[in-house]
Amino acid sequence: MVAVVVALVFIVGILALLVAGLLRSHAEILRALHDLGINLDSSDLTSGTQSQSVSQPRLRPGIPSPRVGEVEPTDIIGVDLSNEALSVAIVGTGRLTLLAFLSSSCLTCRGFWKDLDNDFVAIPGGARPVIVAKGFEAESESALRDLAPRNVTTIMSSAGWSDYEVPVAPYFVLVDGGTDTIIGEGAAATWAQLENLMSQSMADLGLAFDREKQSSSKRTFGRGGADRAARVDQELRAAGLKPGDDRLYQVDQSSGELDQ
Amino acid sequence: MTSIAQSGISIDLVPGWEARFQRSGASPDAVSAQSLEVGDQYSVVHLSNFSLPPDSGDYGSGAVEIMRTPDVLVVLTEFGPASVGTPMFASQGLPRIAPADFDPNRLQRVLAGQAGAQKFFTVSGRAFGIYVVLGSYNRRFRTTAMINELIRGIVIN
Repeated sequence: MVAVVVALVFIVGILALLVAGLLRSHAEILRALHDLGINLDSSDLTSGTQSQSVSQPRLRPGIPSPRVGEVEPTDIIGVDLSNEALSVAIVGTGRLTLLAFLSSSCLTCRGFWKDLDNDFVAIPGGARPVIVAKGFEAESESALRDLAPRNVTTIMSSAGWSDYEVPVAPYFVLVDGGTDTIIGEGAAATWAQLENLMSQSMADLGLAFDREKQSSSKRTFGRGGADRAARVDQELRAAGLKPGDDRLYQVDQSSGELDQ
Repeated sequence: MTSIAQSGISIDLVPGWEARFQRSGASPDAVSAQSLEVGDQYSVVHLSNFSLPPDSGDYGSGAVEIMRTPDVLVVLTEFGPASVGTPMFASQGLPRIAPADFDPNRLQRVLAGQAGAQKFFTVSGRAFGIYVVLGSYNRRFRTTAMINELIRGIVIN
């Protein structure tokens, strides 16, 4: 009899431990869901807020919310740094355009202003870079004058930010003016991240190689020896040839000339 | 359709075209333009079916050098009130451009393969010149219709 009682007490104890473990696990799951912005509280279930909170997870500050629906690319209308009307063709152009939505006040943008002022920087896909800042009502004219690159079109257009539903600065949108579609977009902290982001988008669509061959970079690297050298470097990079590549110096044995 | 307006000039742009307004005299080739000596210039509008560089001159310097075969540059230049009523601007209304108007030597800067056309006119009591550069003289028959479609979208008040 005593043995039976001891056995029952032991079994009840084991079961109590299991239940306690399950309750703790459940509590941890609830806490984790709550941290993700999903609230399963029964009082909210009746008010219908559960479905809302599940579909709109809470994001950390600074991270843009996912876009609802698709943005249709449009031309950008605004003014230049001299406050003169300017329209930049984006759609129907047959070329790639990289829209860089930058601000004069955001610290992360500073690197991109400098990168875009560097004639030797490789623009993803050989796209035409266009800097879009907000209008003078939201920007410092003098700061923009100091930051704006010489050879890259800079347009002030709050409407452009609105049209492309830009959630944060810096933000980049790569538009294919041949199909009038956005083929890549996102935020980046460095030029390397941006190149990676856009290269992946283009690779997904099989665009990278073809577009690089049709590079419109001559528009952006317009004039002068340095510009021409940058263009040549970019075209060589597009063909997979880096500085020092042996293939650049191969000699055709039959003619004694450098291989083409 | 993309529209842009400034200084009483509004333009409905043909798809794929872009426009830049600027004040005359602020560009490297402004001296050449002013040498016409028919009055002060006012608005200058560049219209192109290619990417306009940020610092192109009044008559397209900096832009014409990077033009390719299918590219077209249209420059609409306003002249001062002193020009209104002079024989040079006697033509009334926005002009039409014909293939015969183009000549490889009718360029502010002669570049191989390119051709230019220029016409002067008066609209709403304002004197203008329109200067068109083709990336290819050989394509003038194909591109003229597109240029006239663009001109039809210009309204001057």
